[in-house]
Amino acid sequence: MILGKTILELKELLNTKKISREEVFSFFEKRIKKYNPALNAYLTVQDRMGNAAQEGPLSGVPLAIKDNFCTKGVRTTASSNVLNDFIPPYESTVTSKLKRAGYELLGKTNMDAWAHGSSTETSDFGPTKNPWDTARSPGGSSGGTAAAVSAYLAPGGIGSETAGSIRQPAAWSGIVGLKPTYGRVSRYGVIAMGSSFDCPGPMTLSVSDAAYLLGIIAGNDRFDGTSSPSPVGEYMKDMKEKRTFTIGIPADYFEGLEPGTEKRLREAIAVFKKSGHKVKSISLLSPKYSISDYTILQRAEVSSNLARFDGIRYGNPRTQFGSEAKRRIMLGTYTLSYGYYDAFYKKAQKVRTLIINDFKRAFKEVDAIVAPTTPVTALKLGEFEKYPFFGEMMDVMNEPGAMAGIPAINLPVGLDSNNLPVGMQIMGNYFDEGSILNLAYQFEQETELMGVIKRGVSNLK
Amino acid sequence: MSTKNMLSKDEVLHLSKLANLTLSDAEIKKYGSQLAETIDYVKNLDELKTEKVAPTNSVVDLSNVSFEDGTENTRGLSQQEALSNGKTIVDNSFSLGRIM
Amino acid sequence: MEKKYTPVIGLEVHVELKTKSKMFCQCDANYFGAKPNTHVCPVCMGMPGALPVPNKTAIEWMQRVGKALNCTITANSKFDRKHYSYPDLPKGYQISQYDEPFAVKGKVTVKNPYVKGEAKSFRITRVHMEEDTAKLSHEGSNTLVDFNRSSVPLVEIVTEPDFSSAEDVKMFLEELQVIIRYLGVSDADMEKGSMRLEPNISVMKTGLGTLPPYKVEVKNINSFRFVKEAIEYEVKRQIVLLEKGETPKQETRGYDDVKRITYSQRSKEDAQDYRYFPDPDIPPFAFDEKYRRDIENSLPELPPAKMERFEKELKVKEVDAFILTRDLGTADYFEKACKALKAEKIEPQSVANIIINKRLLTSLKLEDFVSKAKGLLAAKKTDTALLEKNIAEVIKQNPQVVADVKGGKQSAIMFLVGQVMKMMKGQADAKTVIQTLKEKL
Repeated sequence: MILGKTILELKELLNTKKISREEVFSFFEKRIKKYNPALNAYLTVQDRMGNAAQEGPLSGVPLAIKDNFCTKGVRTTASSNVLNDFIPPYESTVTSKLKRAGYELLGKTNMDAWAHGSSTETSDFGPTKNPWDTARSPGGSSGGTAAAVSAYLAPGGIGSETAGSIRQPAAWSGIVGLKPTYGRVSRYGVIAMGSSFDCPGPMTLSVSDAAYLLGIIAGNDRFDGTSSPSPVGEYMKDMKEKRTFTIGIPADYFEGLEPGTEKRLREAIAVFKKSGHKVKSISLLSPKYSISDYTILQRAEVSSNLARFDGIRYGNPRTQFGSEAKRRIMLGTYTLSYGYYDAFYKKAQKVRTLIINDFKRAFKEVDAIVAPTTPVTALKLGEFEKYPFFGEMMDVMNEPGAMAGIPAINLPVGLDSNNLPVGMQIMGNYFDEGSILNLAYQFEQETELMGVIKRGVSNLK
Repeated sequence: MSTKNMLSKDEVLHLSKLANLTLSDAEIKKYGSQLAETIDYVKNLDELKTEKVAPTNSVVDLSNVSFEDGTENTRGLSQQEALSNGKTIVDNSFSLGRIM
Repeated sequence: MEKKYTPVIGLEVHVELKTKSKMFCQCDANYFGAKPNTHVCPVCMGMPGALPVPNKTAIEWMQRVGKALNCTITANSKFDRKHYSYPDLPKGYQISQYDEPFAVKGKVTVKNPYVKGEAKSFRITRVHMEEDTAKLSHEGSNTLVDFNRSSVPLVEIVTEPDFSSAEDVKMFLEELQVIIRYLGVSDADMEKGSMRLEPNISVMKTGLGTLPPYKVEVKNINSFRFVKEAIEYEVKRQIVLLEKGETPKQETRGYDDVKRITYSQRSKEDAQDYRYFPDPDIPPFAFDEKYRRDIENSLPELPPAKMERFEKELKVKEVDAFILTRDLGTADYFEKACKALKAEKIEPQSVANIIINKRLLTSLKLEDFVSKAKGLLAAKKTDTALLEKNIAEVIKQNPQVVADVKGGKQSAIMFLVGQVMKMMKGQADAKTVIQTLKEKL
């Protein structure tokens, strides 16, 4: 009765008293006990209910939370040995909002250490396995949440994205992942990676669930000076009014795709056309520049954000940093240091302006941009450490949008010849989550998207 | 001009000192070459003309975000909470070995 | 030797603001005497994920300081991260300002009657906003860290190298302290650490137009008492090196107030590379013209203007006007007292005398002050019969002096005045005494 139910479906069952909160929690607890040892999706598991701050719309609904959200009294590690015993004395704004909405915490999920990566392989606590094929990566950095949702070890969860860390694991694990506009959701209490990029967002089994969770976690936060005061949309309601869109297809994003990925994307675009949307090709700045630009800015912010971990007030000494973190700290230190700042950091900030202007120009012509989320489907574990740029290569489609700070959603659009899910993303204009959710919802209604997700859930019986 | 292999051991050591990281000899070598590789790679940004472009510090169009002066206890930590994650606590303070 | 070399000194002065809450969080900023680590939250402890939001009042106060130092308040500004590793810096960086401070290019002119010569001007390079660090204390085998002070608002004032003596520095610092106290934004107390001085000192051959190729920053001058001494020590130390034909090393030195020497702390080789970049957690600031005008209009009448007014309008002596304007409370009280005593035909200068020489407390209720002041002045009324009797006695006892005065040695009369005053036990007006004496002679 519970297996595979979305958050909204579970709510309905709870509201009509067809199931009890305890039944729901214990269902997931048992399922985690059974499957987590093989998947390593959770690092810390809660063995009892009682996390909710009060009764609310999520009462009885349990969720998986990425391990870079500070949860008061619950170990939070960012998957690094530096924080392996850190018990935050405070709660992130996102999880505070969920607590006030009544959610239950199932556990904290694995990720790339400090969110540095696209595979969860930089986790100091071992990689997470992809439920579709446990020899493969679920993607990252929010791979733990992606795998937990995909394997139905949670009906939904929260991830965070700097550039691709929600969309890419959602694509590889065959679920819905929404990266909101930068500033739409508070970063307060989320262990910072790239402060000018970081966005918390929902990872779910349906577009409706994503819209629903976004409605709960979004909004201005006086504790985050970069959170936006622009009003939060009525996503659930607006999503269901069928609107017609002009959709842009950027040619550069379709270069070098695996044939299976390209095929599914072309089919998906055909669906949009058939539904009466206007599809036109657009040109955007080549994503290759975004890799360089993102690398410079993100490494600089990383080197700064990780400076606080000195083992004095919490955590362990800096000797505990893994090699990826050290590599990033070193590069960021270099690009910010005297004599190099203008050549690297300042130049990169200017290119960022070009990328932003590029998207602004595009959104004068189109309402949404559709592109693949990743050039390839889930890769095997162990192929990563060879490439210092691996993460950037896998996120090449995600970085431009992340640089600009625009919202985007990943939808599973079918399987490739290896039976692995293919992801498509819809990017929208600033603070226009409403439009991309509307379009994504239409797509969900008209296709077998839910079928893919359900197959994912049933991968583990 | 290629920057390949241009980071000397001293440069890497200087960076590691700034970054407050202690690196092994093997790491110094490894990061030295990876750094050079990455620096080479990101040079493709030079293909883009940016002389007249303003730098972006923040993608959100916000300014003058601040709070009115006044104490508030919403987020205040008790002494016990504040010290709860410290490894060595002496006299309700975080203790290091003597540094001066 | 002193003439052969001229010290070149620039200052960095830090002033802690006494806002209610800290700079980037709402913790109580008044940490004085608090138990360790009790005025803290995730933000000022640099917890993972915590974010700063600036204190609006602190920024306004800082801009008022800038304006009081005749700076331009900038229209656009931002916060930057300044990186260095030290256990008192919880984030591994200090939130400060790099290339767009809140105030730039000012000037402070000090007219101090106790210092010989003309009024002196010192240029202010910039005034910016930053946060204080945690407090370290070294006890036995431990160094202890208390984060109560972490992130308390700190204003940094940077001057041009316009000082050529320790006296100038001291005079400027005293003036700065008075100005800041006028604004009511800080106690500016060096002993309590709410005002801290870091001079950059070098020495050049007198007459040489170019600045020396090095400078030495001196830290840990923790009291007004040591300002002159520390600078003079350092200047002498450098002159000794120059005399030997050496160039002093560019470095940071600490002042040891027990041994009364400066000692090397950090050399140029470990010079810091702070890797400044705009803090992505804090959106930038823009101030329109009206805002900047309002800052200017919010300033009280500052000491130099007040001093000039006391001199010109109230006809108070320069030195007294200076003393009375050293503290805003005293100056205000003085003006109120003048107003109240005007009806009694008592001149402001007499009120000034009562406050400065008779040390009548300005903490008294105004009506008590007025009545006591009247009493003091009334007592000055001279008993003329007694005066004439005493003058006759003094003339009789000092024939030689009387002869000198009569012979044209006018200054000798003061000896006689002194003798008379002594016999009058001070209960006589000096002017009356002199006049009567002259008549009798």
